Amino acid sequence: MSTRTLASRRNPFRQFDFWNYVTIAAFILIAFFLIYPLFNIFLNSFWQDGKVSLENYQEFFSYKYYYSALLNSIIVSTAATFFACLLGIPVAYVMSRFNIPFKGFFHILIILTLLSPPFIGAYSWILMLGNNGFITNFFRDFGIDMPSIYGLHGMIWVFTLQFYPHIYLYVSGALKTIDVSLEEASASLGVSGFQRIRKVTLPLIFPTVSTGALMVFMASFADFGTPMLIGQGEKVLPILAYEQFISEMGSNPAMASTLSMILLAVTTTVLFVQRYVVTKKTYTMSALRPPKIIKLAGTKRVFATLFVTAVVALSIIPQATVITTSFLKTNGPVFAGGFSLDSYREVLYKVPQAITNTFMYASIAIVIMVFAGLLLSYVVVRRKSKITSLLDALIMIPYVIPGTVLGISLIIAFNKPPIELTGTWVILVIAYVIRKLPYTMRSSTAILHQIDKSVEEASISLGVPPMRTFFKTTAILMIPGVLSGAILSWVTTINELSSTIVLYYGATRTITVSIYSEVFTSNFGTAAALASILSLTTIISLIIINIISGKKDVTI
Amino acid sequence: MEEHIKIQNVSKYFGENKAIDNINITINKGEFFTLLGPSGCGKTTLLRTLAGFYQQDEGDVHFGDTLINDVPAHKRNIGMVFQNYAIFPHLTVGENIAYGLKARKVNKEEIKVRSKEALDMVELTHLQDRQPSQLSGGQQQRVALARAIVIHPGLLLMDEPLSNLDAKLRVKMREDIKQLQKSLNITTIYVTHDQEEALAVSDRIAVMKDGKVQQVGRPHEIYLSPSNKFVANFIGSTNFMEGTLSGVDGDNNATVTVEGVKFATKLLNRVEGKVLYSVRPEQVKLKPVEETGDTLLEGEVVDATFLGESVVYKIKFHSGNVISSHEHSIRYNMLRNTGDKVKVDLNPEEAVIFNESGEEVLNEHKNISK
Repeated sequence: MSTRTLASRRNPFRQFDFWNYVTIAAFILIAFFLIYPLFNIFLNSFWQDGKVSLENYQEFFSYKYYYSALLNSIIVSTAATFFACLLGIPVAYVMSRFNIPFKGFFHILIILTLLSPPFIGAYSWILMLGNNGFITNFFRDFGIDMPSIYGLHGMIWVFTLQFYPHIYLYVSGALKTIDVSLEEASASLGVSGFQRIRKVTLPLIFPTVSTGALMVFMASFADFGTPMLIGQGEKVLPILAYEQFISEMGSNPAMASTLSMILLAVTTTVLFVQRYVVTKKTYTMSALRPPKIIKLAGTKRVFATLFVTAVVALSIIPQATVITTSFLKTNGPVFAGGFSLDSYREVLYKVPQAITNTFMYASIAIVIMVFAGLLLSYVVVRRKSKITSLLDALIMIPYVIPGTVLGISLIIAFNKPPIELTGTWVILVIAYVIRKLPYTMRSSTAILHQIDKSVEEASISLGVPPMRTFFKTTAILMIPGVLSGAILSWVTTINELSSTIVLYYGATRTITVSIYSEVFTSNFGTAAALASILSLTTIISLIIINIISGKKDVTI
Repeated sequence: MEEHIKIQNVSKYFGENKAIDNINITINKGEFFTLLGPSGCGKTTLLRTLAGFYQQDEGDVHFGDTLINDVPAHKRNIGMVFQNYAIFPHLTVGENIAYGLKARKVNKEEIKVRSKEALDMVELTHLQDRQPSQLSGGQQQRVALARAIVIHPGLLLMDEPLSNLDAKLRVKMREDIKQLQKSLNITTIYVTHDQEEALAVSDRIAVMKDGKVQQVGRPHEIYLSPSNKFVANFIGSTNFMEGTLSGVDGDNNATVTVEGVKFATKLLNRVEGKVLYSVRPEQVKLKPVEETGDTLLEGEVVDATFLGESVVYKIKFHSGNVISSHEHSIRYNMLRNTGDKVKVDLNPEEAVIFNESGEEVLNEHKNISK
């Protein structure tokens, strides 16, 4: 015992350094910009006419108007998740096991699909299959009525095509780590073909599929633009929350808060269910013998290629449609025939500010995210403790917060003195950083795990103090990882609609908001031109990530 | 000899575990000192505590007259060579070596001169502008060494520097390191788990186990007179045999009985009872079966392994116990075959007798250092 007390003569604060300040600052910022606003809407949802009550929740569950939105949301998200698995798993299997051509190209197209904003997909399906869509019109000329794209099935269609890449990416990764001998063993036991895939391969990749499915569910559940554009009367929860909040007939923040809480309750429940199921079914595999590419011949190869091509084409069609439309001569909703750059001219004349806003806010956000990614991933990885693990968990919370909810919570928290941020660009940047930082964090921590710890110790032993050592060694080595994550954050930031739509004001409108309002006022040409600008930026950013990370794999 | 590094009562906990336990070592100026032990013995923890990467929970460390307990790592003027080299991958070889000099604000001309000097010493002058990724493992290790000595450190620390190299290169590098260390006369603390390496390079060795120092001594001392069973077994290999001490007289003369044979021995203290008799395979002498003598035992060769310079025999006694014996393979016709009967001399002169638990040496043997 006496030996233990001796230890106390060491100064405990000698270990108190820069990283402790980073940790403290991170906690303060998270508490202020994330926890406090969420807690605020939590309180708000129980507040009615100046007293605590459950009235809002009672109202929600007794009026069909409200609870049917919840049902719609669950139906759409579940169906989209199911169909996305149905598409994503076979595409991943074919792409990773068989010798089909143009793999790299397909891979990039699939990622591009995922990164483009879903409401552009929705919009372009309207261009094709809407009441005045060109496919609809084409068939109408022959007297055939195409089914309408509007409604729940339209949302499911768009979400499936938009989000199956989540499944594809996760499953491709998992298939690479399966030890072939497991499959060979089952073949030797007389189980082969589809049976083998069902009995061995699928159970092995189940945890990964469920993670991908979780991403699809979350994305579909939280999406705002798609249901807004093609819901037409069929409301989902994010729409309802938004309308309650920004209603022309006087907003109802208490009900909006209640809806937000219900949204959050669903997403967190789904998250925990997924985690619980996965922990029970996780197998650790080390691919001693990773699977070889099977060389298909003749018709089999043609069919496999056709299948992948069909899926990829179907999911990339919206992009192609939008870009084509942007070069068409239009007059409001009417296509005048012929090509021109008029839409782009009009965009530059009408909403130049939206374009500069988008790039400026995203750039400010990316700078903040690069610094935060550098410092916070270091704290989380190299100063591992209960406290930093908690920090890690807190940073990842925004994964389960729908953008609309985050927007509403920020406005309610910061719409009055002393801190009045509503209507400023600052609140947009805050929302972007909170929502997109997880991407940067993921790739930053990934690269940090690969950097040798003793490089820093070598620098310190050579006489460079710890702080400067970090910036002279580890920080420089982390840059590629941090940047590729940050660019991903940037891509999703410029394509962001659901929180922007809640937080923007006239002067702080962004491209996505402008597209949204152009579509609503049926200015399809200008909307397409704006969407094309986003697509082009996304493609360029993807190329940059590929160059920086120097490999084909992009982790979303 | 001038004392340089003084480690007094140093302990370090990780949670409730004592990683190093009350270490006391004094290292002389210019000495090549090795911390040797199996993994988890605390040798690297002690080294990192000296480097300043860990703060000890108890005890003091002096460099010369300076107490360095609270001196941060970057102010200790230590050169350190890491197991995985820890070369800065974003800097060229030359920039790697100049790194510590720049941190010390040495002027450009001198940096040039001293970098070249260091590169010459490790024979890498021609690779100055290379990227580290273009270097072999051995070359990277030399860069790490040059980078550590170019700053003229007061102390050089090496953490298993050769463990990632192949066997031949390891032998060459350890000779180079030893030579460089002697020519610079730089106090060096070297960590390894490889006993042969430790014996080859060190002036003195501290054998560690479970966070404690088991024995400190020159290589031949710890090999020939190990202070306990662990050291005897960890450095080289040895035969442990059960024995009994009896008939101790006033001058500590006694008789030890092993495998039924009695030997006279001189003890350090008056003790009797069960003991552990330790004799190294090369100290066990094999004689023709015809030879007779009170101290010779009869045995049978049950296994013979030819290793080139030597042959390892397994000899089985009538009791069923088996020991091993090394013989130089000098003459073809001297080689023994499985099944041959031999006489065995257990060489009590050179054997070490431990108490039953193996913690303590009981006999005065001819190798003991006084």
